[in-house]
Amino acid sequence: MTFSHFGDVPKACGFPLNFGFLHFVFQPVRVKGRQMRKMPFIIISFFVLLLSAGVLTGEVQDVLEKAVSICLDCIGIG
Amino acid sequence: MRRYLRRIIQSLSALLLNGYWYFPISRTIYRGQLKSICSPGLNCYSCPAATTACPLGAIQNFMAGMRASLEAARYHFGFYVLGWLGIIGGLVGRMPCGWICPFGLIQDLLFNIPGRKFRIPYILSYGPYIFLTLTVFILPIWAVDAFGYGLLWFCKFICPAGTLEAGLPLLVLQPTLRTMVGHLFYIKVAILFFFVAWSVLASRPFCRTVCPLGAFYSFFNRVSLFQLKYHPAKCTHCELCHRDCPVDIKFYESPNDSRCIRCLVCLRQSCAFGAISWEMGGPLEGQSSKPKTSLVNSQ
Repeated sequence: MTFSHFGDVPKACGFPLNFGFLHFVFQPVRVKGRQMRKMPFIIISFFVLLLSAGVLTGEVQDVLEKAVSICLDCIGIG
Repeated sequence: MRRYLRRIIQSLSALLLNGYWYFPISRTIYRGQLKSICSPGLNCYSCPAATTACPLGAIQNFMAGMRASLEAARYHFGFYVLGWLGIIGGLVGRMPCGWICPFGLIQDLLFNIPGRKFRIPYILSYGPYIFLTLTVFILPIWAVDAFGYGLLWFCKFICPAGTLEAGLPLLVLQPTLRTMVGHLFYIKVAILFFFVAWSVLASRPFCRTVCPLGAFYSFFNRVSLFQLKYHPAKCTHCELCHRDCPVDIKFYESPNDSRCIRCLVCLRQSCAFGAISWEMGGPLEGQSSKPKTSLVNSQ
């Protein structure tokens, strides 16, 4: 199977799955006359949403609370 | 200067991520607001000088407390940390391993000690995925105590970075902790010495055989915005890129390999023929483009 770095529709070569339904995702987009891959932007947008969800649910405070105290587990003492 | 650019950036990153230099006087760790931000590399947040949180420690804390969190209807799944790591991975893939990670810098410096060097068997490169799945996600969620809390399996039983950056310095700074030292600590010190010795003999053994953070970033290497490009017409198969690669990749066989730490040694130092270039976001393979070879060393 050739993915050509996800810049193209994956070509099924002896692999029993057809990735044709992902055509939209792998189709390039033209930005200022330059071909750009969509995949990185989709991935980054997804993780920006994930990060936002974490921030909105108060996970930042959780990280801070854990990080400001000495984690005895982390240093092999606890 | 150009040759040492990566080492300079690695050193600056290590100093910034461990920028609380007041610790010899305060004799404790930094407790400021910066600790709510996760470090892009492996850097223990219990290190007295650490200014940021360790992403692996933070994820494990979320996983270990997930059952209790659900029972308290708080729904904290670690999205903040996963989102942060995913954004970095989506932008540059494993580049933080090669340019930012303080433990990577330590391994690089140890490998510079002259002597006989050895290769690391390919099969061990599956190790990081096993450690990521088991010690960071499955065991902290699955193996819980009576109150529904799990352990930080990777930090507690394996992480040599925690022992080096936090365990040993804290024992020096806080004598009361010395009374709590048990068998586990000595095992962790042994693990640390094992990886220190291995780092002298082989390039980046911890990154290549254990590091779960590198395993997480590696999922993004082929889809990240930053991509290395291979130009077969210019490649002479001189093998210099393979010889210089710290993770033993044949670039001409597998550009943007999941093991690639994006140190760019192949692009900046090895390839004199312009067979390697980089792109942000595109264009697609096989299409005409002006390769960005400005970083290529003209030898």
